[in-house]
Amino acid sequence: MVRPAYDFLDMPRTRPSLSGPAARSVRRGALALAAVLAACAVGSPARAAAGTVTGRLDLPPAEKREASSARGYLDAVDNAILPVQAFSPTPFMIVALEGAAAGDAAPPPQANYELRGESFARPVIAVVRGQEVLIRNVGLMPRTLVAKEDPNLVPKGTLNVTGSKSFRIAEADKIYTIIDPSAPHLVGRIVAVATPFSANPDRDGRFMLDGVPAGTYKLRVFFLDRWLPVEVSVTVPSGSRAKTDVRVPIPADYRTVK
Amino acid sequence: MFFSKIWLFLLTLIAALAITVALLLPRPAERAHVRGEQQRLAVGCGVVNVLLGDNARRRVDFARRFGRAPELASALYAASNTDQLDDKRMASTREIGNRLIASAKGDAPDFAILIDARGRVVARAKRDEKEYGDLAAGRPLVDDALAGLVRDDLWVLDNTIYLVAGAPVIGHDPLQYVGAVVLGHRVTTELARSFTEWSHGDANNKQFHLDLGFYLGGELVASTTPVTLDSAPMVRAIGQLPAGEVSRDCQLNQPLNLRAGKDEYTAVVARMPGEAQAQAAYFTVFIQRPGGLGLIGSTLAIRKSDLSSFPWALISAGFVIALLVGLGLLVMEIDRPLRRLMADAARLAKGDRERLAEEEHPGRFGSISRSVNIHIDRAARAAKTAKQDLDQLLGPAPQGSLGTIDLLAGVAPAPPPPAPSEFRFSDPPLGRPAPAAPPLDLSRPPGSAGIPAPGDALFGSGPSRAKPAAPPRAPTPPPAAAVPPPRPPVAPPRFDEDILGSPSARAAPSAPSAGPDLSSEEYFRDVYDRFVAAKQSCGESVAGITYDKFSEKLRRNREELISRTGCRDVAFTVYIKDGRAALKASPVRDRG
Repeated sequence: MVRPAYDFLDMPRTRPSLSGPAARSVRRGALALAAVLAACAVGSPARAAAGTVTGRLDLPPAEKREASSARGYLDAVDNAILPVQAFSPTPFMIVALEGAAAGDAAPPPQANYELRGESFARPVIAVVRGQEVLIRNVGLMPRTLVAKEDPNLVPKGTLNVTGSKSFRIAEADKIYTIIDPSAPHLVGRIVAVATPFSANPDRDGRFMLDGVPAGTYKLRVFFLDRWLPVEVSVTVPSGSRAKTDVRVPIPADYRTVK
Repeated sequence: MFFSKIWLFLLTLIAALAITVALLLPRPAERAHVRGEQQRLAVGCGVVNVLLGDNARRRVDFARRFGRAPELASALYAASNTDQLDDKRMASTREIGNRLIASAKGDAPDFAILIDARGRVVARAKRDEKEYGDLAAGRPLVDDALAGLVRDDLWVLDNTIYLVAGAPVIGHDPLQYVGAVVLGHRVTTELARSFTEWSHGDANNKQFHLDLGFYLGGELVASTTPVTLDSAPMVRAIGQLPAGEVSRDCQLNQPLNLRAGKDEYTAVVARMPGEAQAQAAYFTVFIQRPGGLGLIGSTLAIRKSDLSSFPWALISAGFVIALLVGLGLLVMEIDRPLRRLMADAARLAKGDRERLAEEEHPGRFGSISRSVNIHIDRAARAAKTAKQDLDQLLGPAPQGSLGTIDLLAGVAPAPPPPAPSEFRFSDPPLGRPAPAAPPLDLSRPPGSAGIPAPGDALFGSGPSRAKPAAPPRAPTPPPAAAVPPPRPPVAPPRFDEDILGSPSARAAPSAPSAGPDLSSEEYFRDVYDRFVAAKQSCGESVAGITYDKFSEKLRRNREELISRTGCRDVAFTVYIKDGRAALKASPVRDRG
């Protein structure tokens, strides 16, 4: 069984075949970023006593995929050999914990958001308030990105190939839509969350949140461009090896509910 | 002239109507032509849309066949299960793509993108062949193809429009989706021409020739003609179209008038769908406007066949008939009456008739005749009035009029003395023409007036009539002693000499120059004496003629003549005419 498109959680972070100094520069940056993240994780005492929250989104039965609204001169038609694959919503979902118990748990200093050609690595990412977002272009063509909700959020100018642009999310509970006006299909979303405990579920809806301090939280689910009316209370017991498993029911009308 | 005027009016009216029709008729034709053009463009635009759809169908079918190639499915299956793509895999997969492209008959794609199930580009063929590994997923066409849908789209790459088709690649063992393929055809001039070939018709029918251009914003991408249209109006028209379905643009759009250099074109624009629509991709179907409409344009558009089928004979016959009728009316109503009037006037001038024949001249010519006759009558009445004035001046004569006073005789600077031949002192002897009597010279001083000099007509001639000279101022019979010698006969006066005096008389110097005072009592007495003597010499009665009455008449007549002619003075001349004594009053304008 081949891995489908948008199975991003397990997808290797390979970049397009760049060679030469550009590739070496990217590799050096990635190593430095990993070192910083490791140092932050080691230096946080709260993470040492934190538990793990695992769970699964109870998704309604998969719906038949509809053709994109954009069309050419013909309507899209099914192929004659295999049924069309069903729509998978999980690449467009985020699971996040909210609650005072999170305390002052510090997020990683940077949230990376890779632009890999005609789309971002993930359709949507979660960013903690105050966290710096680093958008890196690892695709093959330069882009001009802008946030629809705040034109001044993304630094102006062309994002060249192998280049990056960084900015900081100042407000929580905000949703920013990053677009390239010249490529309407290119859309990425940045969701500002209150705690660093968020994750993208896999294709089956499974997710895992590590280092969650003991306490009671509210679990929320984001889909596409809005928070779903789903709130699940999660209590994380004390103890570094504590595990909490939750089931999150997703309403059947999740694609249209506001 | 009534019918001539009517005829001229009718001709002018017909000419005005003809010009009006000539100016107006091209307008409905022009509107019909414009409507035809618009309809033609709308049809052409719709046909291009249909052809683009048909082209998309062929491309999609080819992409579907392309995606079913077993070797391609195997390559993409292997790539999908590989975390790291490499050059070797890319090259082998690209080779497969190139082979499949080469197998296309005729309309081979300009590029192929081979995508694995994860949405990664495994290889590119014919375009950017060395690049791979980036995500093609995200484009609607690629996402749909990865999901199993077959469709087409329009992309913009490097400022060029590509017609693309996507199809899933399905592995057969096991049967599953292993990737997708995207095939692109560049929009080129050849493609545009293939979409308008249908409009060119054959050699005998080139009326439906359309041109087609593909634009990306204001930039021309491909066109059937080197003409570069002004794109700004087209971009504005595209911006005003309602959002949504673009297939009805050809019907919703109003034709545009565009310029390209000095030429004018009529165009219809229609958006192109797909991703390219966001980048203002559209096509325009256009035709060159005719060189000119209206009267001049219609005239210039006349062909030889139009002239050969024109009813020249009918038009020429109508023109000749109209010309002949007009000339006939002119001859009847103007030329002939004018010639009759001229002949009548000539007869009048010759004296063959005294008046113009009014009844022979119709209309305005009759009016002219009447006016001339009125003038003739007035002149006759004036002469009669002058005679009556003299009768009043001299009083009633027992034996008729005293004579005439010619008031016009003084038109000349000075009144000439009457010709001696006009006076007859006595009847001429039988068998001999009577010698002309000299006029009475009034320029002599009053003292000598009573004693006429030898030769004065006053005293007559002939032995039987000879009388002794009368003493001055004596109303007694005139003296008969001074009888002038006989004079040769003179020619009778001409037609107008009776009024204007003889030429010699008119040319004569002023008689009374440096003479006596013409308003003195002595002068009037002298005139009286000579007049009485002349009457007596003619055997006329002088009873009832008194000096007081005579002088009063002369003074009154003198004053009237001065006031009427503005002359300085009036001289009176006594002479004999037709055996009767006559008196002539002559205005004196200048003594010198």
